[in-house]
Amino acid sequence: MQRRLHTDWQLQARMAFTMLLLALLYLIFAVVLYRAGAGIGLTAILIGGLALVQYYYSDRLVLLTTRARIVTEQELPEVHDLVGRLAAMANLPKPRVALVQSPMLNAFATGRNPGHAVIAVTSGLVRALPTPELEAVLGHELTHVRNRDMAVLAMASFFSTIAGYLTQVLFYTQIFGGGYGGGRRGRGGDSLGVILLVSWVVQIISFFLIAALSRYREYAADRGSAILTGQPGNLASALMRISGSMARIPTQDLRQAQTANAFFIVPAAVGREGLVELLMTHPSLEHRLNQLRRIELELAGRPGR
Amino acid sequence: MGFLDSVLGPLFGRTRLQQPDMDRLFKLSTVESSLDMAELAPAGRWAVCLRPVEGGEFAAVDHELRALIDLSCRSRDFNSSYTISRDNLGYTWIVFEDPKLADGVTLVHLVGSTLQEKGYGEQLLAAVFRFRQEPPESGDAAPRYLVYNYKRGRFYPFVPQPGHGRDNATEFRIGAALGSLLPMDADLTRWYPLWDCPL
Repeated sequence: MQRRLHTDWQLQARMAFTMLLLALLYLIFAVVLYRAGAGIGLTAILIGGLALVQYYYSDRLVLLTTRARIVTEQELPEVHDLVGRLAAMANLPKPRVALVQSPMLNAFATGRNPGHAVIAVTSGLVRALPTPELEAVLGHELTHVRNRDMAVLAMASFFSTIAGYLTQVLFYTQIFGGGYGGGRRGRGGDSLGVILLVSWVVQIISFFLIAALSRYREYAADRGSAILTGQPGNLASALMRISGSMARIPTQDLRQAQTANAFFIVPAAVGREGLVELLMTHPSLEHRLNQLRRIELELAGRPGR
Repeated sequence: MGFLDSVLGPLFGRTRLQQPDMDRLFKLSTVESSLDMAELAPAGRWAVCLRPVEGGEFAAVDHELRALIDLSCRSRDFNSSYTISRDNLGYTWIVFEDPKLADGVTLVHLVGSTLQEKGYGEQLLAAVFRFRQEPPESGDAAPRYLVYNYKRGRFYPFVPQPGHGRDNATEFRIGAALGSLLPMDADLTRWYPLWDCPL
């Protein structure tokens, strides 16, 4: 009994390696924090606690910041039907559906676990995409839900959030010197200056690693959509249509939630053509289309590579 | 799905569709005598709903499937006909017309296992069986469906009402009446509707 689509081991390896590097980085950071003494440790725990709370209420927070509204089946029947069928195929409880009033074409998923998930679409998307393409986009978002990408990226960012906060606080306390000022020694003998440096380095390295991880999860979500719908071509044309429209529509809306941006199917801030892909949370359209093309060949029974 | 697939899979972003549970489907033929307890009578229409896959290989399977169904219908003296259609959400429905529930179950199972043999078992979404109210109330020809969710190996009732609504009270009653005889889905959030079902 054959399986239709073979696992992309290269993608898997890259993802695993990135997660491993992040884990190592955070381990080192955690050790430094531990040796830094009670004051720093307490701050770290507090920030960590805040990050957890933010994650727990992620669905409500993201909906608030993007001004998305939960809609009933009567209000948006087609989207609900599509999401329902896809959820049945994926053996998941059906997520809630939300609508963002915006001419831009986009969609995102949020929620701390599949039981509290929300899939949101813009009114522009619902208007512009024909049903098969809409389904492909919803399949992509549902795969994010299934793969718990919200949780994965929250965990991945957990320590970098702490590092970021510490960097800022320590930087300013160093500048304004005095009471806390440079040279004061913590329990383990590390000066605040060292901790500042370590936090800064952790922040930078984790930024690249998290961006990479986010890109790999996007590839995985594209694959998931292709598997759920069995129609990679639909996602390809949807992505092209969305990307094509992004450049024309003024970028006024959907810029509020920077974190939500990570889960948009195509990032709202398009137009930064010259930027290196290393910094981007999403793979380029071309790369995504290439993957979909390979999947299409595989499904047709002709191995693409 | 084992631990590997359900936990490690999502962690590494691997999407794998659940394999269908074929065996529990047959329980439906055993409840024929108890259907009146659930106020149901067979309505002679049975279907398999699946998500077709892009590509030449699947199209070839489609041909084979039709040939196989034709053959079985003739050889087993099934008094049945079938149609294959696509709904507006892109799913394929293979609808059988056969007065007997047991025949319907056999045909549905045949389709399912053929697809599974060819490696497309994961594309199967549900098997749907149409019933009507028993004893029939005047003018009420509204369908009452029993849906078999291949991915979970469970049945659940689906009684649509005009205007995108569901008769939850009747569904509940059917679920309760047949709950001890059929593997019913205990999780109500998994009683997914199948709107505009072509049965």
